[in-house]
Amino acid sequence: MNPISVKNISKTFKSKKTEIKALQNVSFEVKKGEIFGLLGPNGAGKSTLINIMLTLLLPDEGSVEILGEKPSPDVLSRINVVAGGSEFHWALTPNDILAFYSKVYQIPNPKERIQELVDLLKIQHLMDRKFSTFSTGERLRVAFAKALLNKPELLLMDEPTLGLDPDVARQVRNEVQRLNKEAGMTILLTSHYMHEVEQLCNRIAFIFKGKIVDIGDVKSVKLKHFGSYDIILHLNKKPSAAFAKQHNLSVKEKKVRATLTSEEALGDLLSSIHEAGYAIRDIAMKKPTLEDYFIKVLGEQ
Amino acid sequence: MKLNNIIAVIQNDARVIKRVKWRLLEITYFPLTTILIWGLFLLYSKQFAVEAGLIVLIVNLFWSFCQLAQQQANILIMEDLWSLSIKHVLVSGVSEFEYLIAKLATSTSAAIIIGTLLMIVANAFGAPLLASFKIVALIAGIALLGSLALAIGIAGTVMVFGREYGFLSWSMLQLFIFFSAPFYSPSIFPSFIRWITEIMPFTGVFESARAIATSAPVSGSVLWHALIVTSTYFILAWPYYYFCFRRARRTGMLARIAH
Repeated sequence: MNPISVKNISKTFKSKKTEIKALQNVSFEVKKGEIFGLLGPNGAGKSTLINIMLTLLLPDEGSVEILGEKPSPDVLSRINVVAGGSEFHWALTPNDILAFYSKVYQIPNPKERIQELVDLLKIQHLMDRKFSTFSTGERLRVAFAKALLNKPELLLMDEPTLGLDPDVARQVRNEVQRLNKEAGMTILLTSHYMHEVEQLCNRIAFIFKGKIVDIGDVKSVKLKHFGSYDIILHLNKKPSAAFAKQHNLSVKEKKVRATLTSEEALGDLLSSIHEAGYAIRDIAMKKPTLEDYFIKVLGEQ
Repeated sequence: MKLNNIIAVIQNDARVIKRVKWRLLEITYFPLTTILIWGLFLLYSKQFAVEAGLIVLIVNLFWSFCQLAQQQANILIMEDLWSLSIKHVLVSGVSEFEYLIAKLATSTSAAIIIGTLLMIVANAFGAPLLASFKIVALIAGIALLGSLALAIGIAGTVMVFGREYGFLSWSMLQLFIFFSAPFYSPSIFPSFIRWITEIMPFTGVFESARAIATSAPVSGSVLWHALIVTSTYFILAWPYYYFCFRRARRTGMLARIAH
């Protein structure tokens, strides 16, 4: 049983003047224990998908299974969600908020569990302050505490680091990795920050205009669009024209650039340089990032 | 239905009321000042016509009671919508039924507590309410049923049309009260409107209130009719609420108002 199974989901929003196809025959599965990234530009359909999983939205066609069941209040009580810009009632304190959700999730020994999360997320000093007085980072930490209360089997994270300071965003990423490794928690993540997705996700799906354009592990998805990568070497002297021609190098004084198609090609090039008597002073690789991929796919589409 | 979830939402609403001091003031201030104003009018009007003052006082008491029961439920929902906290509640395993039942329970409790206080104050001004407590309680029960039915209907409508329609929380009851002929007999309306009073939830409530004020016997048939009308409203309000929630889920409004 996969924690998330999405089958042939379609959703169209209709108004008198417009018709927006938010999702078109989308299917994918998220395996147990993986961090799955859902990528795409604004309006691609990521939030629509998450809202369908959370029962806030009904699909026109297709079905979703969460933890092997059709989404229902019982299933929802076994998962959790955290979103960037999470809001709770402005007048309530984290003590109030966590007490409420402890009751809803029927947490055994709620005080102990809340204290665990307070220590983990370092929110002791916030516990008696009203939610409206919190910064974005503090709000997110409270939202995280709420999201982890019921030790969810599946955590949906919708732009969790949106608007956070880089150091807080890094803490959040570390925490996500820790939860995934130590608790085996399955995580579905949407994010606009490609480095975040690249760092965290085992597999990704790229969604554009309601359709899944690519799906797979990060490396293979990138390889599909970028068959090669560049390497720039600074040598101790300018290489000969014959050597440059033989290895298809572009040369500018002591700086040479090669375009490689595999890891083996890199090894071969380095061996040849060494055998030809050149010494490498500096080396820089220009591998495509997920951001390059994102921009390229958008361009292609 | 999980009783645990209903209790959790009620406790949460109690925390909100405790933390937001003006809410407590709002619940007590308007009804209490209304009764004080009309109680003083009653004292003043005694030298002219006792019944007129009593009618105004007792009808206002039931009016305030209906307002409390309906508005508190809807305002609690609107607060969840304004604060965007409703999303977390609805995706935590609390069903739409449990959610609304909790809101109705909180508003009913507030209406009963404040209604009792108002009754004691009105009684002190000379309204014969404690002497006819059983019949007053029965009329209040009917008024409560009608008010909760309206609260359910308004909650559903807001889910379908969005937060902008939150104004119904304050305005809808006024329209129903107008057609329920509060201070006057339905016969005062032109004949082509008069039939509307027959299907209004509070017509029987106010007619019975006026009977108490004038020491006339409260008609059993009026109460039965009022009970049937308000029960019909209450029963029909639920499928309407479910229909609205389903429609809001289909159109995307629920996702939009929850974000």
